[in-house]
Amino acid sequence: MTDDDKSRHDFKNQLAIIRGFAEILLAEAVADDPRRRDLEEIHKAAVTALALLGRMYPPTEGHVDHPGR
Amino acid sequence: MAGTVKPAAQPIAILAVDDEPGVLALVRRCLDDERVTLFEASSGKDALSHFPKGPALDLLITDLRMPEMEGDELARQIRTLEPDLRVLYLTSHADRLFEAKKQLWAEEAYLDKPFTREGLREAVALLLFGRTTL
Repeated sequence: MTDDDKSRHDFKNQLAIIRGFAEILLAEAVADDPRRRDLEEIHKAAVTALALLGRMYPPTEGHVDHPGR
Repeated sequence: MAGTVKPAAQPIAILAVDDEPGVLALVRRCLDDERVTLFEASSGKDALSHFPKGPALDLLITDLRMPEMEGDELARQIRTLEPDLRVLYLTSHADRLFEAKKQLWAEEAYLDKPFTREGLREAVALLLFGRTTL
């Protein structure tokens, strides 16, 4: 693994952690929770950042996205 | 799935391995369930120290890409100790998994990172119980 690969892997991990926890908190927040809108912004930013990362570093040739489950 | 599925509603022992503490914390949160006992390790070497004295495991959840020992090698070594252990690989590099392994065993699956709580719980339930809910 090159340094660039590792940095990308680690960065993606951090975004995935933010997205994952934001999703859980959103699922647990009641509809009128005043923090819900803030959580939605955090979640949206993480999803957008992950998509940007995917566009900056598209899968290499031969990459298999979903061969199994 | 070729192996015998575990009866539902029984305690579940899982070993989660990832060199990123935040991912382990997320796995712990996703699998927060009174039936689940989660053991955690930050490396393949750390995970192997669970054996042979640790409690029997139902499932190994491991990151694929880790320094020193990658997840598929860890699973191979643990399988020599616990041949029936089910394995769930967490990976954002499915292509690398299939470079190393031409196919997954019946008791193995992989889950793309980033994963959701529902996705992880469904993958665990499918591997252990052959159904989509824990």
